[in-house]
Amino acid sequence: MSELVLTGISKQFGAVKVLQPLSLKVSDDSFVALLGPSGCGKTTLLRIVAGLEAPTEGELRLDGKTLWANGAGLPPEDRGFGMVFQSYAVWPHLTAFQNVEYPLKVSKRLKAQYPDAPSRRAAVERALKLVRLETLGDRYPHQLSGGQQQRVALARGLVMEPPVLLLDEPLSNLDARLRAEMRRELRDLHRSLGITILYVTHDQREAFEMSTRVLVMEAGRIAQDGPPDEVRGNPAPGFVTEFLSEA
Amino acid sequence: MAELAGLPLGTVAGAAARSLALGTAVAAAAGAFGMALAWLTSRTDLPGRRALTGFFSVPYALPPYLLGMAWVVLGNPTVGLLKDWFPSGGIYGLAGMVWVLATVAFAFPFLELRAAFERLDPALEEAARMSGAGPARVFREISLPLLWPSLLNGMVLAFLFSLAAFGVPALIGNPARQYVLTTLIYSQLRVGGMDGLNQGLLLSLILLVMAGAGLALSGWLARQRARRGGTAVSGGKSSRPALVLLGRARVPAAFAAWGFLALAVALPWIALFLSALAPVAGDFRPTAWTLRNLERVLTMADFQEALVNSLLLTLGTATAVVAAGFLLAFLAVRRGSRAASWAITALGAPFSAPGTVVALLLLMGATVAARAGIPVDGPLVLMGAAYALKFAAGAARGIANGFAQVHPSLEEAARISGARTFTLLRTLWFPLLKGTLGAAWLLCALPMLTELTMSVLLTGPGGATLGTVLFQLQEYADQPSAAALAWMLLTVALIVGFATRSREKEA
Ligand SMILES: Nc1ncnc2c1ncn2[C@@H]1O[C@H](COP(=O)(O)OP(=O)(O)OP(=O)(O)O)[C@@H](O)[C@H]1O
Ligand SMILES: [Mg+2]
Repeated sequence: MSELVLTGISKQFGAVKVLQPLSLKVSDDSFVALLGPSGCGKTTLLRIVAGLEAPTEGELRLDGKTLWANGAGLPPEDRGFGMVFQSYAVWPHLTAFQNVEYPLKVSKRLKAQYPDAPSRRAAVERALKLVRLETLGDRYPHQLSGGQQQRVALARGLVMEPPVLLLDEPLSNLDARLRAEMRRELRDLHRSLGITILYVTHDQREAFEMSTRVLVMEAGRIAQDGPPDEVRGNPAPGFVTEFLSEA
Repeated sequence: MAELAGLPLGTVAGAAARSLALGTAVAAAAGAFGMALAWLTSRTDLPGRRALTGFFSVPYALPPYLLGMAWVVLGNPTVGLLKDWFPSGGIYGLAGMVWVLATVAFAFPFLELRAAFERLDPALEEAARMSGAGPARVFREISLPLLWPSLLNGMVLAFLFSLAAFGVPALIGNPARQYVLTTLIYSQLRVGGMDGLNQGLLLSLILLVMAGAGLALSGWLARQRARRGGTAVSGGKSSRPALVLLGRARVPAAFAAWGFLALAVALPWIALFLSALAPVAGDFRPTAWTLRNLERVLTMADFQEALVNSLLLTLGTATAVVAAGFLLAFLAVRRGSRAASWAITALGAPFSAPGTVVALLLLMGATVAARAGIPVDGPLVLMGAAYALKFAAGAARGIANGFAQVHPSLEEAARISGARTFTLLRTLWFPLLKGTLGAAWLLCALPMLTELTMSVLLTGPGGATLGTVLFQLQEYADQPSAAALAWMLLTVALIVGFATRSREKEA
């Protein structure tokens, strides 16, 4: 059972403190939505968990294994997390299939698990099927629509069977219909696969429809933390009430 | 022995092969240096990477033959300042030419790649790290394939630049009897007469074919690439790149990057400075230092004539080129004029063709005109024409970009207010594009002021320029005076280079 623990994590850019020291436990199987207005530090927090950004202070652990402590830690490639970027970040020089296969070829952990091409092929096909792209594996990204590229990115994260999947506003570049469809799909995927998801968004609908836990952030601190129904039905007075009433 | 227009075939083939080898080797070295430095300054926590980025655009502004002279001061096998550090032949020979040209030409791929790294969505690289790939692997399998078109572009520019180079091969190749096409053409023309001109034309045809082949090859490679999947560099909103932490490699990497800058810029400057102060070539004792060389150069009649000529030629030609480019770009971009677009495209030919070829064609044109009874008066006219042809395309393209970046509604609003074309140009476009025009002017004027490759072929009585005087001093073995003049010019070029570097950063 994997558990992600943040202890006193803070982040400062120059003189600006963008994350106040915050502590957080994310337990197995939860779908955590990080919800908040633009600039409140959601992406920064996610990138610290990913290892793409170093926290100024604090510690980060996964199942008791130290990811970051005392100003040093594991580089992103050794954490084994999956990540889906807002800009998709699907590699234009590789086909959809090759994009999804890439982690299996480079990650130390997965290389051992999928030692040969046939085993990789099976895993990639499974992942593509999950996002319903099984027929489009041979296409290059420029031959795919935005929504399809987004699913390639998702399949690339899922194929790693990561202990934690990180998503940074993955739906914001899609149109309304596709967004609704992907919301449903993500929720179903989470239920069927049982992985831990950390999902950054400023869209309340995404947060409340998919997650099992909502963290509302304001200016680098957590303003409210609870199950979606509780946050929606009983928002903390002040910032959260105001923010939720805006949409 | 087989001959080609009166030249031994072996000589021609040797020079052609050497030109090709030089171009290819410099392109490869420049690509490697440029890529390493661009990656270090854009994607890692290299100490001082901001400052380095600015400094690395400086060599671009330095006339390569000044650096060539500096390297002769350092690496002359008998009297060189650092002769013990060089192999037995000193700096002379093909390897020396490659090194000196590469210390300038790396800037082509470097600048292309810097811009490409800026455009490349860092999430593409970050996604690979999240997939489990370490920095080296990400560079090899993600960054490099995506940046390949920019790298190729930069390498082609370096290839054309080296193929066209005259000063460095003359300074560093000739003493070892290693001629390339440009230096062979020069020596054939010095022989004089129609024979020399004909041989020169034949050789320059070979040079032109090589340049064309380089361009065609790179175009083909780029198309191959495009066919195999997209090369789209950036689509989505890009974020700040997560810097690669160099860790234990940080200090050695910084040492290498700053060391390269010191070797490419600081060391040559110091060498010329010391040599300018030396009473005779090779005597570098501080106790013997003298200002006599500087004084001799400044009072030399040739130098004074050259200074006046170069300043007049540069001011006149650069201003005319920018004015013409302003009009052409306006007509092409804002009025959709086919003729103007075509003219800008056509100017690309002398821009990419080796200067030697441009100068020779002008010489031939002048000969033909003279036969037809239209005398072309004096070397300055020919040099002005050569400079204008050579640098017009760069200026026109830069200005056209400037026009294209301004929203059409600005002009439409002025036209609705009643402004006609000339008023529009004067009251709207000129003030709006002042910065662009200034940059274009500098981009023309800098290389014109110290131009050597074409000037040396077109010069004549009364037509000395800074480049030709310097070349003569060096050829007639007045090393101390040559070093003094070179040091002054390099200092001016460095100052201008550093000044334009900080301008770029503000913009
Ligand atoms: N590299 C940096 N240097 C300086 N300030 C930064 C840097 N990165 C982020 N910031 C600042 O930190 C704050 C939080 O940024 P972050 O990207 O985490 O916000 P966000 O909540 O993801 O916003 P959005 O919804 O707009 O993506 C912002 O005020 C931002 O300007
Ligand atoms: Mg964000």
